[in-house]
Formats: sequence, C-alpha cells, structure tokens
Amino acid sequence: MTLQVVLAIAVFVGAYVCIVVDRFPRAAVVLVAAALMVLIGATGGETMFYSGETGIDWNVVFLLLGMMIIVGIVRHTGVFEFLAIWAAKLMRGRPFRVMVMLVVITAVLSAFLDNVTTVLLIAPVTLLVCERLGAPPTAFLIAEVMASNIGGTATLIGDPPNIIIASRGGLSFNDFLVHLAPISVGLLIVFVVLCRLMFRSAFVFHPERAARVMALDERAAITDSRLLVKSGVVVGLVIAGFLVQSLLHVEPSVVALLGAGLLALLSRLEPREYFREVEWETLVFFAGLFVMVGALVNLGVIDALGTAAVDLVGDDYGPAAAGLAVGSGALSAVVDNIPFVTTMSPLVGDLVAAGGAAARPLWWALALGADLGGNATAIGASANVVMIGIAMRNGVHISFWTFTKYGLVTTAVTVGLSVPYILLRYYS
Amino acid sequence: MPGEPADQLPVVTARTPLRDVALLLVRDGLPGVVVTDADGGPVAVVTALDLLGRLVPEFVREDPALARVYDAVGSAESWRELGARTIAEIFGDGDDWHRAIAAVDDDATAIEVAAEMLNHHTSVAVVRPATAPGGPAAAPRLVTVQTVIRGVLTAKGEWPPPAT
Repeated sequence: MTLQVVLAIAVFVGAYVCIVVDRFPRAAVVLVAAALMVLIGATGGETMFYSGETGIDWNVVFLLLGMMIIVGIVRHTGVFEFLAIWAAKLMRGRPFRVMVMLVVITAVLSAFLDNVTTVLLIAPVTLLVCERLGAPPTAFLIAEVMASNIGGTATLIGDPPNIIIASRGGLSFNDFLVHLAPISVGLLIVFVVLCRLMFRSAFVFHPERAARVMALDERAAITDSRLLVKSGVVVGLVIAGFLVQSLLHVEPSVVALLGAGLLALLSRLEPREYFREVEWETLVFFAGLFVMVGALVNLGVIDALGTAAVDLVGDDYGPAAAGLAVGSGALSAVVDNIPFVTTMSPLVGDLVAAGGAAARPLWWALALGADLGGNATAIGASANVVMIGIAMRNGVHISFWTFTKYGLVTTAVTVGLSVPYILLRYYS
Repeated sequence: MPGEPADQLPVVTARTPLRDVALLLVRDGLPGVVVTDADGGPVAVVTALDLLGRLVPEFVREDPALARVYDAVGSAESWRELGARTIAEIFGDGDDWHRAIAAVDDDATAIEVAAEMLNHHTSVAVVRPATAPGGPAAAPRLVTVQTVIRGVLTAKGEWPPPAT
C-alpha cells in the first residue's frame, strides 16, 4: 500500500467521522476532503469533472436540481396543504383515520419528491390539523417522516440513495417501480398497523374538536389555481417521461431538467422564488462526495475491496443480499445514508459485474437497507432531522429517544420484512 | 442619545398575564412594555410585534398557503389559553431576557441605538442606568424607535420635514 493510498484513506475516514459527529457543515467537510484528495494527487480536474466512474455524477446532481426547481414552483400553488386538509375532512376528523390519510399522502408524495421536501410540505399543515383535533403532534409528525422514508423507497426519484444507485447501476425508473414499489406498498400497509399500536394513546376522538377540522376551508389554501393546472400538466409529463426514459434512452436528469425548464417558463414566477427552494448545500455535498469516493476508485482501493467482496460472497448471492440489506439498515441508522450509498455503490457494482443477473438484486438490498434504515434513529435520515427542527420551532419537543424508540421498532419490522421479500422473490 | 428626554412606557413584571400586556399595547397604542425584576431593574421589553408573534403560530408564518386557511377561530382559541399565562411562562426566564434586551449607554448616538435595536429586532431599547452597581435602582429609561428615527433624521438635517 503506497503512502498516497494511505493518505487518501485517512482523508476519507476523517471526512466520514466529521459527517457522523455532525460538528461541521457536511458540504464544507466533503469540499475540504475533495481538495485534500486533489492535493495528494488521488484525483484531478479531468477525473473529477469528466469521468462518470471516478468523478462527479452529474446525472444525480442535475436530477436533484431539476426536481427541486419543480417542487419550488409547485409549492406556490398550495396544493399540498389543500390535500392534507381535504383528507382530514374526508376522515371526519377521526384521529387515527386522519393519521392514516396523512401517512399515505406523505408516502405517495415522497415517492416522487425528495423526503426532506415532503416533510417541509406536510409538517406545517399537520400541526394545524393536530391543533384543531387536540391530538399530540409528536405521533403524527413521527408517523409522517417514517412514511416518507418508506414511500421514498418505491421509486428512482423518491430518495437520494435511490438516485445514486440508479445512476451507478444503470437502473431505470421502471426497474425501481417493478422491484421496489411492491414491497414499499406492503411495508406501508404494515406500517399503518404499527402506527395503530405504537401511537394508540393519540387517537382520542372529540366530536367538538372534529367539528373544528370540518370548519377549515381547504380551497382557501389554493393560492394560484392557474399555476396549479400548469403544474399538474408538467408534473404529469415529467412522470410520463420517467416511465419511458429507458425506451427513449434519455437520462432521468434530462427529463427533470426539461420539466423544470418548462414549468419555470409557464409559471412566470421570478427565478429567485423557485431557486430559493433549491438546496444548494445538498448539491455541493453530493459533488464533494463523488470526488471523495471517486478518488478511492481512481487509486484502486474500491476495486481491491470489490475483489475481496467477490471472493467472500462467491456464488452465495442470497445470503449476501440479506446481509447487505440488514447491514445497510444498521449502518444507515447512524450514518447519513447518502455517503454510505455513495461509498457502497462501486462495491456493489463490482459484485454485480462479477455475478451478473444473479447478483443484480444486491442493488435492491442496498436500496431497501439504506432507505429504511434511516427510520431507526432521529439522525438516521435528513428528513428526520428537518422534521424534529420544525416541531421544535413550533413548541413540540421530540427527543432523540422518543423518536428512536419508535424508529427502532419500525426499522426492525420493515428491514426484517424486506429480507424474506428479497430471498423469496429472487433466490427461492 | 445625549440630551434626549427618556420615553415613557408602562412597567410590568414577569408574573403579569399576557392578557394585561395586550391591553396596554393595543388600547394605548404603545410600542412595548418594560418588564422589571424584583428590584425594579429592566430585564426585558415585550413589544407589540412580540405579542403578534404569539398570536400567529410559527407553522402559519412558515407556510403562506396556511395563512389563508388559518382563521380567527384558531387565533381566538389559542389566545384564550395564552392570555391567562404570564410573560415568564410565554417568553422564558429572565436570564434569556438579559441577553436579548437592547441596552445602550447613556451617551449613545442615535445611530448606535438604531444599530442595537435592529440587531435585537426590537422597537424599544433600555438606557443603562448611570448609577453604580449596587446603588439604588432608578426607574428604567427607555428609547423608542420613533425617538431614534427622529434623532437620525435630525442629525442628517432632514428633520423637521420641510413644509410642502
């Protein structure tokens, strides 16, 4: 092992520790790590910017950018608030039914939007509904953020780790729908049952409080009905584009950018209004991560690990997939699942390249473990942290352990069910 | 601001219910009230904007669409509960206020007072008492934002406004 490799691994591990302890801005951490990788000669300008294997995965970055712009425009319509209030009224203000509707809406939205965005959209209106119902917001908010992590598993664009996996594994939107959507729907149904058990004390029905929910006018939430129609058309086109992208040989990022551009043109909003919704720090974080991991790929470190993994796994892809799902779930509970998947993707890529079709379900095992593992602790996924922050600003204190005691149960059940799904579907 | 007369604002304690504070602010159209400790020293200023902030929930402020949905029924209900609570219960303990209060020296210029107010997002500043620590507590001297604006404009020669 050369000094350069040792230094590169040290930089990588140091950056990872900094991300885990969360004492520094994560985008700054990966930028510094990327700069150090350049300084020690582990990567360079050409490699960073123009190599799909060892540089920044622009498909991931621009897919996220495009979707963030679309959401930034759509949220101006008030449609998300309309949906949540409409659902609460449809359920006649009965707390458990309202929670089920909010959980389902969150999961479905999360399948097409980034989880953090979904949480930002659904949390304020949930607080309003809970205030009117006199129901504890903690139970509703925790249920929603967990639903967003489950729903996000279903599609290519639902959770950032899926975007990375799709790009690195050459997987299409439809691949995710076929392989992950069915288990996500099943897990969501199980999660609803879990909610009934975990939060049973939150479902006290008061007719007079239900009447206050019924008094809300959901139509008032629609701030721009013309923009709502335009947004509906463009979002429909974007989803159709994702469905046929593999037939047209168009990258998902191109579909998202075309949709964002069209909607920006039709909305006539000031650019600053939708660019404000773009999480630039997240995009920089992704770029820095790709450089960091790409440097290790460039130096052959990931290849060496991949070879070792291939030797270790042999032809036992079933147990390997089960182990990968459980291991990813456990690690994603304590480590941000984005850097985890960025690091694991080249390794899984090596295994799939060596094993062919038999090893391909490893991608789904990685996605299920990483996405669902985020539910385990209060810091397991960015959406959890954001949700707890919103609750705190509104006087609702959700402690680490309050979240985690529900999270551990949910993760154990969902990851636990994912393992037999993988084994029965692909290796029986 | 040297030479400027002090502004007069009502004085309350941390145990004063928010309902009474609202009455003073709304009925008399005052920019704020001064909260004093047991020795009569100023520990905080509760402004009309602080009160408004308690009437409109954070989640409504974060979401313009919800501001259209949230009706007076919601505000009235939350006010029934909030109004009976004391200032200390709503805004926190006195230690936090000591850090948050906009305090200026007796000889501060209009611009210094303005900067302090803007940094603290408040429309009232307390003038630090000239008496030595441990001496008898004097009534709090205050400067309101109107006084500061007048001071700034006077310094720029733009006050009083020219007759049109």
